[in-house]
Formats: sequence, C-alpha cells, structure tokens
Amino acid sequence: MTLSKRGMAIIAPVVSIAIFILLWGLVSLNVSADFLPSPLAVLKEGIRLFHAKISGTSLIGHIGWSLSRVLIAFGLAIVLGLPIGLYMGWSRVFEKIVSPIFEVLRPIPPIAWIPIAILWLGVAEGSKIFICFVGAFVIMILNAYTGMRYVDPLLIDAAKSFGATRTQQFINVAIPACMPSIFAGVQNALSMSWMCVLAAEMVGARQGVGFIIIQGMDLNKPSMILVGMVIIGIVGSLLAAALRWIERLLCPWRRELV
Amino acid sequence: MKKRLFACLTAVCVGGALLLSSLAYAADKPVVRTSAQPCLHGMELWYAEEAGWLKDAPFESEFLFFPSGGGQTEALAAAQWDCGAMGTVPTMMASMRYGYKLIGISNVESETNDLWVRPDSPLLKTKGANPKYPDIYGTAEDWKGKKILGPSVTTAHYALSATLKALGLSDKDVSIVDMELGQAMTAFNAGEGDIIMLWAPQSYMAEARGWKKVSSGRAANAVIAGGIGVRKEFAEEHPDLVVEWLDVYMRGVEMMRDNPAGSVDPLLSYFTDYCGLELSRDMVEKEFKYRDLFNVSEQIAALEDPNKLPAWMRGVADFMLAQGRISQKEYDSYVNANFNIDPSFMKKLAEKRAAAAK
Amino acid sequence: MQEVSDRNKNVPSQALNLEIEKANYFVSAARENWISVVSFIMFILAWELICRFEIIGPYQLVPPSQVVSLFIDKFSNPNPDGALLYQHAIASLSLALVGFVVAVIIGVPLGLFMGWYPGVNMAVRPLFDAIRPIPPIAWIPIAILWLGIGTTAKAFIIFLAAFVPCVINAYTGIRLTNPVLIRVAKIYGASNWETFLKIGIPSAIPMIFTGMKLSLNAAWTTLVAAELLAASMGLGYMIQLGRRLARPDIIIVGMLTIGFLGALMSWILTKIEARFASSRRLT
Repeated sequence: MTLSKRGMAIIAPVVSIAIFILLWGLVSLNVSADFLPSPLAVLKEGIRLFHAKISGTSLIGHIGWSLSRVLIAFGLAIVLGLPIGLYMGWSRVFEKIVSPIFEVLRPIPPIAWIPIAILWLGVAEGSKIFICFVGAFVIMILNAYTGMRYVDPLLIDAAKSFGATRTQQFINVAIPACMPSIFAGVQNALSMSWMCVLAAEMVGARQGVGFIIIQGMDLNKPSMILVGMVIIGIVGSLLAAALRWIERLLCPWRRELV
Repeated sequence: MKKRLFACLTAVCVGGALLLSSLAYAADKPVVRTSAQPCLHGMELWYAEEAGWLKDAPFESEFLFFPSGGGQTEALAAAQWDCGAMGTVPTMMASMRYGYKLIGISNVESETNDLWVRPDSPLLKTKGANPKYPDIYGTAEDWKGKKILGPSVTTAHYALSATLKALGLSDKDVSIVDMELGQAMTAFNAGEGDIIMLWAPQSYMAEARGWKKVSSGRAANAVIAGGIGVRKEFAEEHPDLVVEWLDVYMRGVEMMRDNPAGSVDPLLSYFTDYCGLELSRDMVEKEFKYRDLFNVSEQIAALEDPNKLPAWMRGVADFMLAQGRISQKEYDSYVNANFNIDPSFMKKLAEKRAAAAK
Repeated sequence: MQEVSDRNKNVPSQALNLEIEKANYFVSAARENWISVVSFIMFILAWELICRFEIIGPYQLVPPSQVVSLFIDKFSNPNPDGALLYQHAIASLSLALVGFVVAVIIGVPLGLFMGWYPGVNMAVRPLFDAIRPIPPIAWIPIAILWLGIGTTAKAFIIFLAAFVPCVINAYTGIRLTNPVLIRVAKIYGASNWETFLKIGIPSAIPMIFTGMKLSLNAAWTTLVAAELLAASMGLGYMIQLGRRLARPDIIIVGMLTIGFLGALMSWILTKIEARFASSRRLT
C-alpha cells in the first residue's frame, strides 16, 4: 500500500507533465510557429542560446546580471528594513513617527516606482536595484513589525524577571521570537525582488533575463520568449530553494512549522 | 546563528559591489559617453571606433545604446551620457527640460519617419484625399478610430500627428498604443493594430514584409531634423572635448554624404552586428537615398538660417503645443531660447579644420 | 510594551492581563496619535522645502503643493496625457477587477478540490508547480503575441497573477480542516460531498479571504506592469507618459492614485471579510 502510494507520487507528476508537453506539441503542430513554437523548437533554441550571445552577453551572463541586481537590492532591504521593522514593533513612539509615512508609500506597487526611479537614478543599474529594493523593503518591514508586535509578552516578562536589561530583552528574547515571521518575510521579499527585476529589465535594459524575453519579442522569436520564461521559472525556484536551505541552517528549531 | 546570517548577507552585498565596480574601468584619456539608437545617426562613433579614428583623438568614447529617444532623454536627466544624437522630438524635450544644446543636424529624416499598414488595409483605397498632401493614403474617415502602435512622444509620433493634422484630425481621433518599436512590429505582425509608426531602418523591414507606407513626415510636409546634441553641463565644462567629438562625428557624416556607396558596408555592419537587426544590403542602400546629410559648412548655414533648423524645430514645438503635450509657458521659453541651438561648436570645428589645413 | 507590562505586574490571570493590555493600547494609542500627525506634517513640509530650495531639481521631484494642484486639475484637464484622471482610473480598475473575479471563480474551487480530492491534486499539482515560479509579468510578451494588446491579453495576465494565491490559499485552508469535524460528520452519515460542502468549505473561508487579498494585490501590481509595456489608457499608461514627457508631477499623481486605489480595494475586501467573520471558524 505505502509502496504503491509512493510510486504514484513519483509517477503522477511525470505523467501529468508528459501529457502537458504532448498537448503543447499537438497544438503547436496545428498553429504557426510564430504563434506557438513546438516543445522541440524551444529546446533547440535553449541549446542555441546557451552557446550564442544575446546582444553581447551570454545566457549565463544575463542570469548573472539579474541575480546581482536582485541580491544587492535584497541585501540592502534586509540591512535597512529589518532594523526599522523590528524597532517599529518594539518602540511605540518610533512606530508613531514612521507609520504615517510608511502607510502612504506602502500601497504603491514597486513597479509603479519604475518611471520615477528612472528619472531619479537614470537608466543604469541604480534604478533597477531601487525597484527591487522597494519591493523587498516594504515586505521586510511589514513582517518584522508584525512579528515583533505578536511576540508573547510573557516571554518579555520572564526575561525581565530574570533581570535582563531592555537591550537584552530586545536582542536575546524578542528578536529570536519573531524569527519565523522574519523568515516568511525574507522568502516573500526575495520572490518579490525577482519579479521586480523582471519588470525593470523589461521596461529598459540591455542585460538580464527580462531583457531576453523582450529581445525575443523584438526579434519576433516566440521560442526565445519561452526559453526566457522557463529560465526565469527555474532561477526563481532555485532562489527559493536556496533560501529554504539557509533557513534550515540558521534556525533549525523551526523545521516543524515550515 | 545570527552572525552567520549577517556574514552571508555581507558576503552577498560585498560580492555584488565588487561585480559592479569591476565593470567600471579606468581610462587614461577622458571619456566622452556617446548615446545613440539603432539608427543611421548612431553609426558615426561606432564606426570611428571600428576604423581606428579614435586613436588620435584626445578622448575615448563609451557607446550607450537606446531603443528610442525616451530612454535617451531620461538617461540625459541622470547625466549618464555627454554627447549624442537623437530624433527631433526627444531633442526638443531634452532642450526644454534639461537645457540640452542642439549643436548639429545628424540628417534630415522626414522621409524615414513613416506610417505603415498591412496590404489589406482600407486606407490604401484612396490616395491624396487632401490634394495638398498627395502622398497620404486614406481619407479622414478611414483614419478615424484606428488603432496605431508605436512609441509615443517620439519623432515617428510627430510624423503621425502631422499626418492627422493634414487630414483635419488630431491625436484624439485615433487610439495610440504606446509600445517600443520592436515590440510594436511583432504585435503588428501578429495582426494587432491597424497602423504602425516606424522609422528607418525598421521601415525597410516593414517594406520587406509587404506592408505599405501610408504617410511619412515628408508626405505631411513636416521637416524632421535629427539632432546632434550635448548635455548642458558637459558643454560648459569641456567645450574643447565637444569640438573634438564633433570632429569625429562629422567625419562619419561627411563620409556617408560624399561616398554613400562606400558607406553601405559599415552601416550594414552596424545594424546587423551591433544592433542585432536583420537587414539586407539593398535596404541599407535606401538610407542614403532618403536622408539628407550636411557637411560642416552646410551645417553652419542650416544652424544659423532662421528659415532652416530654427523653423523646423518651431514646427515640432507648434505641434507639441497644439497636442497639449507642452504648456504655453514651456513653448514660449523654448522659442525665446532659440530652441537651444548653439552653432558655436560647429564654427569652432570649422576654424580648427581651417587651421589644420594651413 | 514595557509600560503596559509594568502596570500589569500584579494581575495574576493571563486573560485579564491581555484584556487590560488591549485597553491600555487603545488609550495610549489615542494619546500618542499626535506624534503621527506631527511626523506626517514634517514629512510633507520637508518634501515641500526640498523642492522649494531646489535641493532636488524640478524635473526630478515636484513639491506636494504642485502634486495637489495637478491632482485637482487632472479632473478637468486631459492634457498632456490625453485623458482625465478618473478615466485612467476606471480603465485600470475595470481591467483589474475582470481578471481578479475570473481568477477567484476558477482558482478558489480548483484549490478546494485539490485540497479535498487527492486525485485532482495529483493531476493538477505538477502543472501548477511548474507554472507557479514564473512571475505573471514574464507572460506579458507571449500574451501580447497570443492575445494581442487589448483587454483580453491584460485580463489574462492579471488572471495569472491573481490565480496563484487563490489556489494556494483555498488548498491550504481546506487541508487545515479539523479532522475531528470531518469524522463527526461522517459518523452522522454525511456523504463525502456533503462533508466537503458543509465542513470543508466553511472552515477554509478565512484562508480563502487571505488568498483573495493577496490576489487583489498581485492583480493590481501586475496591471501596472502590463500598462507600462503597452496601453493607450490607464494609470500605468499615465505614469509611462509622464516618463516620456519628463513630467515628474504626472508620475507622482499617478503613483499616489495607484497606491490609494490599491489600499481602498483591500479595505473593501477586509470589510466584506468582517461580515463573514460571524460564521467563521467551526473549530
């Protein structure tokens, strides 16, 4: 029984994906390649792109550009957003100071910042990193803040009765207690920056995975667009997987909650 | 645990910063950042580098590439380039907003900013509905309500607005879908939209696909001058470099003007190798048929003659005002500044060349 | 927080403790609200001054006074972007809502079925997992090729964006149904379908609402991206044109309107959620 169940768990996805690719192939036979290229054509295009250069940068190079933008922005968002969010949750005065400004800016989607970011920072790296940063920053603040607000007051009281100073309460008790919320935020922030980098690269760039799909459109090559989409999906899931791995490394006690 | 987290993050940040800084390189000669589009006006500096003209020049060129003038203007606002060429509308916007100086004419491109339809379009039934504009296809009724693809607030948009005006219409009578050129072509190819606004060399690709030209800047009696320009602060800080840069640029212009046959190969190679466009030789040959190019003395005349460049730029400004894209106040100050035309660099170049000839 | 716990030092019962904390929170919240007001005024003032003294140039940032006057002006003046502000807003809103509603209609039942019937889950899950990591924005070029540049293509993109959170949350919600409740229903002779309708779905409702809020957010974000790439009306188009015309005031008015409408929509959804709250958790 258990064996067949496990067998099913492996077979079902394979069958489902195979049927999907088969259907895709059948549809592509009946429409023009300008509309939907066949799976084989996409595979071939993928292999070709691995060796050819797209506007002077290799495929790996494009991925590298996108990743470096995302990681810089993501790093900045953590370094800046985490302390602000945590402190907003800890100190009510600070919360009252920051929240009105934050509440006005928060609902603006990061992508709506693209035009103004370009006016402020130009069309080079600055504006793209800024967009990704905005996306990740807001999520980091929100999660760190919410995590801090929901720390069980009993924990703080317990620490206090053991003679912990205010700083010790904050660093040794409150922060570890909101780790789960912070990590949920980190995951969302990373996938948000990944989406933002695409948007920024699609609106104007010469490198990056977002540029690949726009270039595919410029050159009227649907197979190139699809290769780009597949790569975006793969890199996106690898990023998420890497983060889960880091999370397990850093807070092993949280495993059962994942 | 936390230390490890912070170590990871710091490593990521430092790594990213290193990656970025390694991309910037040190140069001995001053760098002039040149901006251009995949268009004839971008070939000069690219070819200068290929042909080794820059070896003797007192500057190095860094080439920046934009799909259309919108991005170029924004990059100018952030001071990301110094000298360059762009279409007449972005030139106007840049002068109006950022004091960009117009110092020369890359070419007159009235014929190569044009509008295209698919061969089954009803517009093709009538030609010259308004006898004053014999080369415009379609009647006002035909044009009304059509969906037009292309980058808005560009020179091609100017050709469109001029065409609509010739038929007694305005931008409000049609629906313009704002898209970059290449994307608009792909969408149009897939059957989207009724009309597409283009410029060369993409219009040759349109012709090769069997699309039909229904109007152009020339057909609508608009003279469209592509501008050579320089960022205001750069012109003030390094006037000598601007002259040197212009020297190289004009060498390219004069090569194409005086020897079009010999310039086909360099231009073709710019379009195909650098810009990634798919063009054939005979398409590129048309470039020299349709575009007027000026040498240094002709440039000075055109820059100073109130009936030439100033009048052409006024035509653009009039249109933008009529379309409500700019305010009366902006218009007045632009006209009062003589359209930010500055012939001094071209004149200095003429003096420099005269001195060298002696 | 410290203030609160200090005062409650001698209260033995935890429940009472929480009640008092809540009360204290609101009392002190009212007392400290003036800080927020001052902070907001300072923010606007600093913004105005930065622009007045041209620390940031007029083509990079405009003062709030100019933003307000343009905002009022945009109700009657279609220049320079070709339409009134509310026309842009209606164009964007109607698109976002079409995509969102379709996503909810398809996504929520799909998620529920996936969560309840292992067969459906096994068939759909792998495809869903394969497509999910591709952000909806990456579909824009291919959607333009397939569906053109009109309403259909944009609604499709928004649908994709809104679909994923709907499915995931409906799935998770129904998977978290208390197994005791299911067993009780079965003991009283309810069929699997009845249990699904009467026990599974009600207990998934809070999660479904969370998913809908996330969906709406995603739909709104993605719409802006789609309008940046191809559009002739809408708030995204408006800020894109502001970009082309180098008019930061138009961009900022557009951004704030987008933000405001986004916040308004989540607020409405929260209100709707509150009406359902009375019949919420069965556990």
